Amino acid sequence: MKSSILKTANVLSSVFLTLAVLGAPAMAAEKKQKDPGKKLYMTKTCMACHGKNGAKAMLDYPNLAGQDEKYLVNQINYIIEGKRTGSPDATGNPRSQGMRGALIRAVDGQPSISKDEIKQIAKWLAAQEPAGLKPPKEPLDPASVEAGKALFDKKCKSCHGKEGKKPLKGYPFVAGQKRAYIYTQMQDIKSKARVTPKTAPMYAIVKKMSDDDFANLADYLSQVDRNADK
Amino acid sequence: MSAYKTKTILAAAFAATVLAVSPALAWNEGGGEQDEALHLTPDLENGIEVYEVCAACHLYEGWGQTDGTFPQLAGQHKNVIIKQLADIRALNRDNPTMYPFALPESIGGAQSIADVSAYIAKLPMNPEPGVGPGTDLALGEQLYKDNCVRCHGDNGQGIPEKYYPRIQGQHYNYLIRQFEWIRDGKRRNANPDMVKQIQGFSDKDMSAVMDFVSRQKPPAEDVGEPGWENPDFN
Repeated sequence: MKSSILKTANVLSSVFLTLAVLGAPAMAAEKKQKDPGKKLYMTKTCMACHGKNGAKAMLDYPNLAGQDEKYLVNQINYIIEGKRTGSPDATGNPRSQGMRGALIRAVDGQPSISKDEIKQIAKWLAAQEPAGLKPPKEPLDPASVEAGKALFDKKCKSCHGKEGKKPLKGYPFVAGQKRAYIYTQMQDIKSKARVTPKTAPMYAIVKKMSDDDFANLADYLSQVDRNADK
Repeated sequence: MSAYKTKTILAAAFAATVLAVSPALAWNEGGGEQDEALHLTPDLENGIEVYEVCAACHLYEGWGQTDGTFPQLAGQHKNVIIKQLADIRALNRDNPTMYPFALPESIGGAQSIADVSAYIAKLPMNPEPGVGPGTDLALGEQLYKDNCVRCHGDNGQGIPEKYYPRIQGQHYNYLIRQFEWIRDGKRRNANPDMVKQIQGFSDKDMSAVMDFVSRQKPPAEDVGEPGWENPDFN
């Protein structure tokens, strides 16, 4: 008798265990259902440099969260194809070579990411909330910010939109981007270290600008909050 | 604003100085952080923390990618990892993709290098590394015997004290790329003796010997089970 109670208890507990085990994967699967773009962003090593959800990039690399989808697709393709380069980074290689190295297979020089995967990553990144404002390491000169705003309104707004928040389709959001990145890209477009299809009209504008102008613009744009009054 | 500009100019000047100086550095200058890290007692717990940065590309298991984009690190000799990390950081080995992750702000100072290197060295190795086509293994074996054994050992185990890496069970595609770069002078921190040794290798020879190396088995106790997942990150 005693043994049959034990047996019943055993059977019951094993039924319970079975249910628990069967239930667990179903729950895990539900929880793990990630956006395919997010999954690719993480497994294709994008996150290592551009940070969590594309909003915490390292060094002077750009934040990508909330960037224009079409712009992202184009730039990723240009970088992989070697069409987008830039001035030398600390290693002496053109900026973008680091990214290229992560996405080109050693074995045959072909991309390890497909066109379709690029689209999925871009779609997901475009839907992410833009990075919050990071207070500058040293306080910005208000005169510089003001000069940057004036110059932006005069020269940049027609493509990048009011306050850099409403670009034309296929053009980048520049509001709230990292200061060092904005500054370097303007320099690179002026020096033609970066020549991509849409940089031609911008070249005509930045060729007349000085490094001081770029610094003013970078000061201003890096402190425009894209998440405000959305 | 002008302080910002000055900083940029300074950074560029610094980069230019480093680049101008670096070609003089070669195979094994030692000194600095490399020597420091070699003599520190590793803290494996901190090694786990540091390794998380590396895992984005080399994976939590340290098994790398069979396409050779990222090498297997698991089981590599501690000394070799210390040397390579220090070299990449000092711009003595070109690696624009990895460079930012070798910086002190990403992984810390000499102690962290010691910690993460010791951690990587004890990771079980990939039981299924990428191998070559298998068409010229006899040629590969002969070439290996004639050219590689003295430094890399009779089955690719390397010599830790001399910074000669373990190459057995490394992904074929990664081996090929490094061999080619060493032969053709693109890998600046290569051992000049090796550069000389392999000058006469044709691409066919290279493929044959690397194929042979990728198939050499590390001791069973150093190899993980297929599908093993690193519990330190799960």
